[in-house]
This record gives sequence, C-alpha cells and structure tokens, in this order.
Amino acid sequence: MNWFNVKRLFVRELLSQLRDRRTLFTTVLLPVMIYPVLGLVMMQVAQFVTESKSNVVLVGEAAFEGLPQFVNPNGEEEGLVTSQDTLLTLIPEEFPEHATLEGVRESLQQRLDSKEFDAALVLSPELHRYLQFLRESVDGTASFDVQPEAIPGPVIVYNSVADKSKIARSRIAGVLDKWEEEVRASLFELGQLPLGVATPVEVQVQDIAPEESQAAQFWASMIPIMLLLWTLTGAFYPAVDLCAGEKERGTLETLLCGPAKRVEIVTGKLLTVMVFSFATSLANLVSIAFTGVFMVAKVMPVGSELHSKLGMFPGWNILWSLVVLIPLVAMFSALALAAATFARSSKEGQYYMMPLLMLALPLSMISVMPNVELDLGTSLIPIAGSALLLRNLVESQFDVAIRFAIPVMASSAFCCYLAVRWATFQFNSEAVLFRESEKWDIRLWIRQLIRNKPMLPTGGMAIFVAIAILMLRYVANATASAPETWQDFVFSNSIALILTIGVPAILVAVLLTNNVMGALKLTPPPVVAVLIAVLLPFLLHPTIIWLGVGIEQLYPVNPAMKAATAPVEAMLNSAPLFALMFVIAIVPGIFEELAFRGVILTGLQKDSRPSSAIFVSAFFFGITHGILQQSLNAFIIGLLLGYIAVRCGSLIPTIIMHVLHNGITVLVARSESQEWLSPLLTDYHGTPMYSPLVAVCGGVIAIGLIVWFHIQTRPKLAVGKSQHAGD
Amino acid sequence: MIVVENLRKSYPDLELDEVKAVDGVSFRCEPGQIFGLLGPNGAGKTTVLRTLATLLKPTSGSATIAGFDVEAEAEQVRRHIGFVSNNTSNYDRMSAREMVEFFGRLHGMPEGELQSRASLVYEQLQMTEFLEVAGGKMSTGMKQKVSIARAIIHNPPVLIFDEATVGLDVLVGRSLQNTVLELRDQGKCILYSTHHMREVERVCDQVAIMHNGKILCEGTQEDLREQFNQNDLEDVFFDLMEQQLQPGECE
Repeated sequence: MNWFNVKRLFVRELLSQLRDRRTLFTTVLLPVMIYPVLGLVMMQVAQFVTESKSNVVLVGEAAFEGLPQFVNPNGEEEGLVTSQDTLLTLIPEEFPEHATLEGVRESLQQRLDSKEFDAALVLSPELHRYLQFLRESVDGTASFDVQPEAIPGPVIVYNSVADKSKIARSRIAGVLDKWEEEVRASLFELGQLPLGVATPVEVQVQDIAPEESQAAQFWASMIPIMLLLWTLTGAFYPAVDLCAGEKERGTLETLLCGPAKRVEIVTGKLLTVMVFSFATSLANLVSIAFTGVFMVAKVMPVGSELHSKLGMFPGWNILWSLVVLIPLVAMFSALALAAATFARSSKEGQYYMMPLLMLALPLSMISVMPNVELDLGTSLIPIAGSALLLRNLVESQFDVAIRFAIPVMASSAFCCYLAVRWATFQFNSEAVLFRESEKWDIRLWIRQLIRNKPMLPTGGMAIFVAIAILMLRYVANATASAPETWQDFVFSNSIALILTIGVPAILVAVLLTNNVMGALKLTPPPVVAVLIAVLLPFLLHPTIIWLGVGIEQLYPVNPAMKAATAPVEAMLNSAPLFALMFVIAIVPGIFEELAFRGVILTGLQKDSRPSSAIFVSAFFFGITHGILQQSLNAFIIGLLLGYIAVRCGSLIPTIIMHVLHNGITVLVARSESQEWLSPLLTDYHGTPMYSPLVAVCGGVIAIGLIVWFHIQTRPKLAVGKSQHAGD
Repeated sequence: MIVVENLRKSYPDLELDEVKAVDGVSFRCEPGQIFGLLGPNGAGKTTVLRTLATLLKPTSGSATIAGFDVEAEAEQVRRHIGFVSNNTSNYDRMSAREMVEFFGRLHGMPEGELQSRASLVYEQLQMTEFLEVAGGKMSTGMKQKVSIARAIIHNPPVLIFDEATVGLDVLVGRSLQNTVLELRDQGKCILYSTHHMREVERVCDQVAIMHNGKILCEGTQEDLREQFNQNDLEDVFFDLMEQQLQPGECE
C-alpha cells in the first residue's frame, strides 16, 4: 500500500466533504444544535403540563364539621386549598344519603371515564364516625378497640393511564397530606401530647457515592447512547456520499481506473469517514457539555426538582470518552462504508442506515440497564462494552474503567478489523461496484434455481439454510411445552432437531444441487482424519468442560433459567443411557453436522475463503444453541469441527467427533461413571470436575495431534469454485 | 501496444442463465493508430474497454496493454492508460485544476514535472479560462476537456475513449475528435468506441464492428467498404446487421 496515495485520497475526500453543505449540516451542525433545541422544546412542554388545571370532585366534606376544611365556605378564612392554589379547583358534593362507599366509587368512576372531572376525593360517613370515635377515645369518653384493617380512609379515585388525572391525583394528595397533619395535630392537642410523639424516630440515610458520581447519574446513562448513535450517524452520511454518491455521480469509475489500488482507495475513504464520525461525536459532546453546564444551571435553579433529577454535569471527565470512541468510530465507519458501497445510489444507501441502527441501538441501550455492570463478560460484547466503559468514565469510576479498557478496546478492534475486511471485500467485488438495477422476478429465479442446479450449494443457499434453521428453532422453542416424562423429552427433542436442523439442510442439498453427497460432504474421509476424530473428543473433553466453566464465570447463567432447567435435568437422570445417547449424542451429532459442516460450510466455502467460511458456519452453529453460554462454547467447538471438515473434505470425521463429544458428556454426567473416572477428577465448588492438570495435558496432546493432522492434510478446494467475483 | 486475445466476459442472469457480454474478442492496436470499436448499444464495447481499464476481470482470454497483463499487472496497466468514458465523471466539488493535479499526483508525478506538464495540457486543451471553476458549475464541453486532461496528465502511451461524445453538442464533439486526432499524431495508441458511423469515418484508422459480444468484421475503412461493396460505412454496418454474419465469414 502506498501511504502517499492514501494521504492524497484522504485529503481529497476530506476537502470534498467539507465543501458539501448537506454533510456538514448532518455531521456538525445538527449534533451541535440538537440539545439546545431539545432543551427549549422540553421546557416548553414541561410548562404546558404543569400549567394545566385540575378539577377534583370532593364528596362528603360538608359532614366533617369540627375538622380542618378543604375550602372555607364563609370565605373569610382560607381552607387547606388556598387562593394561591389556582391550578386546583375543588367541586364539593354531598355524600348521597343511604349510599354505600362502593356505590359512590362506582358512580364516580363512570363520571371520571366520561371526563367530567380529573379525579375525586371521597370522605365517607364511616370516616366521619371513625374520626368522631377517635376524638372520644382520646378525651377518655370511649375506649379504643378498632382493628387497624377496619379503619376507613379518604378515597382518591383517578385514572393512572390519563396524565391529567395523574397530575390531579398528586395535587389532591398533597392537600390531603396537610389535612391529615391538621387532624393529627388536633387529636394530639386534645390528648395533651407533644406533636413529636407522632414521629418518635427519624431514619437518616447516608449515600457514600462520591458527589460527582451521584450527580452524574443522568448524564452517565445518556451520554454513551447519544455518543454512539451520533458516531454512527456521523459515519453514515459521509460514507453514503463517498461510495453510493460517487457511483451515482459517475466519479467512482474515474477513481477506479486511476493508478490507486483498491485498498488505498478504501483506506482513504475510511479515514475520511472516521474523521467525520469522530468530529460528529466531538461536536455532539461539546453541545451536551454546553447544554449541561450553561442551560441546566441557568434555567433550572439549584434545588429545583428538574435540577436534582439531571444533576451536575460531569465536567472534564467526558473528554476521556473520546479515547474510547476511536476504535468504535473505526468500526462504525467501516460498517457504514461497506453498506454504502453496496448501495447503487445515495437513496438506496439511506435504506441501509436502519439495519445498522437496529444493531447498534439495543447494544448501546445495555449501558442504561440497571444491574448491568462493566466486567470481563460485558466488556467483550461489541458496542455494549464501549457504552459501559463510557458510562464508567462519565461517572468518574476510573478504577473500573482502567481495568476493563483493554478488553473493550480489543473487542472493538477485532470487530473493526472484520468490518474493514467486509468493506474491502465490497470494494473488490465487480458485482457490487458495477451493479446495475436488475429486474428480479421470483418465477424466473425459482426456474433458474431448479433448471441450473449447481454441483454444490452456493453461499446464498448456505445463508438461506442457516437463517431457516434459526427461524425454525425459534418457532419450535416458542411453541414447545415442558416435557413430562423422559420418553416425552427424547421423542420431542429428536423430532424437533431433525425437522428444524436436518430437514432444511437435506432438502436444499437434494432439491437445489446436483451432487447431494458432495453438498453434504458425505465423502470417504482419509484414515488420518478418522483417527483424529476418534482421539480428539477424549483428549479435548476436559478442556472443553473447563472452557464451559470459564464462560459461565464470564457470563453467569441466570438463576431463573437454572431453576427452570433443573426439573428436566432431574428427570433425565432417571432415563436409560441408550435413550440419552440417542437424543443428546447421535441425533445432534448427525443432523447438526449435515447442516452446519455439510450444506452451510460447503456453500460458504464456494464463495469465500476457508477461514471466513469456518468462522461464519461456527457463528451460526453457536447462535442456534440459543443460550449465550452454550452458544459461545458451541462456537469454539464449531471452529474446530469446521477446520477438520475443510481440511479433509468429509463430514464423517466431524460426525464421529460430535457424537463422541456429546456422548462423553452424557456419560460423565451419570453418577455411576464418575466412580471409574475418579482418578481424573477433582472437587470444584462441591461438584466433581476434571482436574486442571488433566485438562492441560489433554489440550496439549490435542494441539500436537491437530498440528500433525495439519501437516498430513491439504485443504480441499470446493469443486466448481465461482468464476465470477460477483455471483 | 494493445493486444486482446479471445477475450470473454459473462455474467449470471436470471432469464438467460448467463449473459455473454463479450464472446471471444481479439484485436490489436498499434502506437500512432486509432482503433475504432463500432457497434450498437449493448454490443459489448463498454465491457471490453472496462476490462482493458482493469475495472472488470475477464472470464477467460487475455489482454495486454503496453506489455502488461490486465489481470495480473492491473496497477501497471492503469499507469499506462488514460480512460475517458461517459461513466467517468469529474468531481463536482473540485476545480478543473484540482481535479487534474490530483490525478497527476496519484500517478506519482514529481511536483515540478506535474506543473509543467499541466500547463502544457491546459494550453493544448484551451482550458486556462476555467481552471478555477468547480466541476458542478462547468458546461458539458468544459467537463469533457477536464476528463481528457485528467486522462492524459501523466502522458500515457495508451488512451481509451468509450462513447466519449455521447451527450455532447456538435461543436464540443468535433473539438474532442480533433483532440483525439492530435493525440494520435503524438504517437499515442488510441482505442475509440462509438455507435456513430460519422465519427468512425472521421477519426478511426482501423475499425472493428461489434454485435452481441462478438467482432463481426475488422479492417481499415477502405477494406470494409471494398469487401461489402458499399460506399458508406453505415451501409456496411446495416449489411452486417441484416446478414448476421459470423466472424469467420469476414476476412
């Protein structure tokens, strides 16, 4: 790569973007303006809400003579609702004679539904009688023997779904508090007791969180999400202009027939997009800071409700977040560039923004979820790890942030690498660069699929099978009921697995390819592969079990999920061994291999490099397992199985490995087998586990065997490898 | 200088399974010669030229430019050609000078050499009046001049013009043809594709008539007129279309 050319391209693209008003508006002006504008709008709306009036019907107050009055009927002295309370209008009504409290409540409810008023307060005759009785008990004329649950109280009727009714409720509740206080005071006065007796102790709460962290709560949850979203937006618009826009304007071809290499062009464009993405987040941060420091402080006085909610702006801490943003900016820029390269026009490019946002938004939302903290597990999740790290930085929790900064950066860097590779791939693909607006007709497409069957599945078929499996698994899991007996479990699980994983793969191989055995990789394997397939599961089992333990420590299993699977596990302990072997080892071992290392891997191999094909097939194998912890474990095993299948070109060894691995797991879980395994076992938190030494030794020998296997075999190229870069 | 041998390029297609955009095309073009590719829209001319400009990879066959293979030595090929087509536009947000000099620098030209070469090119193409005008504000004629300047700034031995006069008015078209003739006189090897017979008659030394991805006929204008017993190249073309001759039937 010629870095001088990259620099020339970068400077040109940068200048071109800086001369484009639309890009400048979306990437610099909009993020700067949005917070002040949002702030102003929100304040206007807030004023509107607080200034709407509430009408509250007050039923039965007239009967309460001798008690504090809500509204003074004579008008000489003010009641609890003073003339200052202009927003609360009380409409007094009498408690209907011979009516029950229940009846009154129902009629009020109907009137509330028809929006006659916003809320109602009912003071029943029972309450009156009770208060009278209370006074008599205090001055000694009656004895107090009422059970606490029999005490009648004032009743507020409101509708929690209607905002206006909720506001009315909070206003009348405030007045009612004052009323209650006065009633209490009059009773204490009657009984000649000091008022302090009512609250003999007062709980004191002390928050040990540093003041700046406390104050930054709101900002800490808001800033990461806003920064991430703007980073993506800031990357997307220039990317669309630099790729799809250039295609549309015809300048991309000018550039491509020039002397610069594709990789130089991609790098130059990527750097430009990164600059804009970063500038957008920076502009956004400046705007947040300005809004945070000046507007919040000036407009909302210290001590006001809104001020205490928003808290103090975290200050210079947030500058640290810019460092965290760099790998993220690179990743989003590469993703946006790849998506934008795929698009034929700027308009089409805009369509791809939504899927990217749908991917980024849920992951960045993790930073605002309660109970989610930055640890090794969360730090490895792309986007989410960065969002959590940003949050910790804003909260000034530097000790936690520093500890997990490296895993977060490493995970982001890895994703960034994949995104850059994808972008470069797009830029090297003729079909993508010179894609014409083709007419797609489903009938023609199906006809062609059937008439011109390829020998082996294509990449498109592989992805289709993988997605079909995911959808079918999802439906099967959602509709499955918990098994009641072990026979039930064995039967339903085997059928479900065959139907959702085996059948789609076999159907595609039979209907859409001309070489069914080749498509499913059902070819005779070399002897060396069979040997490896028999030995590896035994050697690697302890290592894989420890891997599972490690993964569970990183991402602990939800206790609710553990509790849910416990009865099934208990039930399976009573099942005979052959049944368990069938459902856990043999069926998945055969059908999962036919799908993932059969049709999917073979199809992916046709259109991409073996390493990418193995990675993608393992990814789908992993996510089919549903539960995160199992998925990670399955992904790693999927990499190994994929490697073996690609190296020997046959599925037989991977079926053997898969069946043996699952079979050993079933055997080891049976208590009776743990006796003869005992020399290899150790105690791990009360349960028997392979001793670490066994795992390490097994792992080392396995690696040795794999190296030997690697030397013994050569990668098998898929037959009929695509002639066109773009088909 | 340009040697194309049995070049093929096909694409998958839903309706026809496979479209043979270029189907076994061979020709040669020497320095100081203008080789015309004449054919209707969709004949496969653009695909041939895009393949020669290394934008597309051939499905089979080979092509070399200035001795470099278009597939294996794509970068060298691009250094030795100037490509002008109606698909290669100029940057809207760059002035004529910026555009031309940007490509000169990408070609690795030293600054002094670039400036003297640029002045020469501006003079030759009469561009000095609008050097600071941005691409988006240029007239079609100005744009075409900038395209040519961009393609010849590094003084390549081979020039490829793909339907370069499409959308130009008569005056601008004529001026482009004159430029092409001047470049030929400087010893450039020029590949010139068009669907206008008159243009071919005016500028091309050697002509190949393409249809459905194949070269139906090739020779000098006199050869073709003589062979088909016609006075006009347009009549030769229509004769060919009517007969749908196979390449073998044409000497």
